[in-house]
Amino acid sequence: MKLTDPTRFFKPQWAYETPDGFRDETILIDFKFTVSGTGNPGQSVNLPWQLDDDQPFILRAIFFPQLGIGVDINNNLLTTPGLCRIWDTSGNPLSEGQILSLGAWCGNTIDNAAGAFGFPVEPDVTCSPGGALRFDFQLSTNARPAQAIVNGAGASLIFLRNIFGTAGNDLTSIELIDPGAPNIPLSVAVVAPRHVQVTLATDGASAITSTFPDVAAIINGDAAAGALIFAIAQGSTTEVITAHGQTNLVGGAAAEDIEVRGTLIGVKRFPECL
Amino acid sequence: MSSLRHHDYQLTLPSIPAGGLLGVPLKLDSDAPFILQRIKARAPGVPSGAFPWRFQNRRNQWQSSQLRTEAPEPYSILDPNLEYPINGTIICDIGNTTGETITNGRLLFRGSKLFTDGAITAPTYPPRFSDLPYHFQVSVLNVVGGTVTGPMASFGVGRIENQLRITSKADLALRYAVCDPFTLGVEGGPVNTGAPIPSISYPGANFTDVWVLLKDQQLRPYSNEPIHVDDLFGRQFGANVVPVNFQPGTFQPEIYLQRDHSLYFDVYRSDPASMGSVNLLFRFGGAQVILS
Repeated sequence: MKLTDPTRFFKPQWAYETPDGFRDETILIDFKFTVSGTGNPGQSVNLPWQLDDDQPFILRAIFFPQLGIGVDINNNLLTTPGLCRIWDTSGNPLSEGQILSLGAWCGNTIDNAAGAFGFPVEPDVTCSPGGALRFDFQLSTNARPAQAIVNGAGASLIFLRNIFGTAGNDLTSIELIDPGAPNIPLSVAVVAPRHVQVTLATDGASAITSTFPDVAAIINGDAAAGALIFAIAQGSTTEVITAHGQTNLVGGAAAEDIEVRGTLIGVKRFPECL
Repeated sequence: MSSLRHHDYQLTLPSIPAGGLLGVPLKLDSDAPFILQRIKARAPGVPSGAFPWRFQNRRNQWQSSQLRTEAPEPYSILDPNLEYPINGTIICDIGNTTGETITNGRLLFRGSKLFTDGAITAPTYPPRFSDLPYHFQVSVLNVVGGTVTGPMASFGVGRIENQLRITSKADLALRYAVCDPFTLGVEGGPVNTGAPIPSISYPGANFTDVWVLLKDQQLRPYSNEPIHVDDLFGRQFGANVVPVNFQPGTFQPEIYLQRDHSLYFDVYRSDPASMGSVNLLFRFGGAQVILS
């Protein structure tokens, strides 16, 4: 069966030819914005990017590799997707409100942003000469939570204050206690106001048996402790943890502005006489 | 004249013994012929190639002489398409070379139903129009998995009839959708601490198995059972928060949604409840159709 009814079926934009009397020339337009890193709404809206005033620009794709770049707790680079809305040069929004950019305006990595062809804008958008595309952003915050780390030989346990930014520098602390007695079960308690005490499990010979994941699990699974701290176990899942004295979670940092860069991909449409 | 409407048929096999199953029937509906366009196999945890398959055309001839072992991505495309009659049956052979029983293996047959003109409400493009790319987002929050009994056992806990309402000034020709887990982090707000992968900010919690059943405004479904979001839509965050090769599931033909009309979708999650809740952001993309 042939699906040929042009009014009913999707036609990819490459199926549309340049109109008679015109000539299209490929053009790439880089853009750059400084966007709030707080994650709060309304702080980075109506950001204009002015286009050339000589000929119409036909927008066909966006290469958006840095819709926020973040660093995780191990300083690994992450993409940090957020919400975005784009307005065309006639003031038409291209989405109903701000939407998660992934899969709508961009991919989740540089490689997955559809490479040299960018992420398709389909159907294409005709932009008037000298007009401005406008962008709204609300990106997840890059404020860093306060933290503390307990390292073992082949494992580590990261304790994150369960709040983004400097508000978490509030003397929340963690302590891993060796009970020094046989057959003690693993337990957790919160001592007012924000001191989390984990009593490690022991065997019949009073030796500690709790592993790094065991401790993470009991903290995250406890309503009171989990409200203060989020624990992340890394590395060996069988290594037994040792006692650790009371340690404050520190280093919560305020949000910083995020530089968002990208490229508009399309064509300029010239009359044949030019 | 006739009207095409996007439709998926899925064959779910709760238990496939070692060695496979022969001659498994997938019964088609009685309302319209089916135009088969694409096929995809899904058997989580099964090595690529260990879940081969083949199927018959309307004349009960095998579409391939041997079992096919394509990788799960992307779809296998049928060009030209295959047409099946009203009340037809797609007969399938399913292989299993794992040496063990495969649980909940699935074959997804994507295509369209072909209705006679007037048999269904089928709005479409006006004679003259302008179009703009356009997206709607619908958030389904705090989706928790778990086990249920009965016919929906393999799809998990349901959140029924979520609504995409076309509230804009124009119609929407829905061409694709994408579903991702995401929770926006805000300075001074809580750290997103979702399982299974602890991520301090992005995407927060994640999911492995979420299923969606699309329905039109009259609640007529676009598939015989819920389809995995990775097959029906696509997502950017893989199940392990790793980048995935984004291949959005497109609708053929597109689903034409009139202004002030709605598309409904049931969401099911079969992950263990211990994975916690997840916020799902569905983005529906296509073209805004503006009268000119």
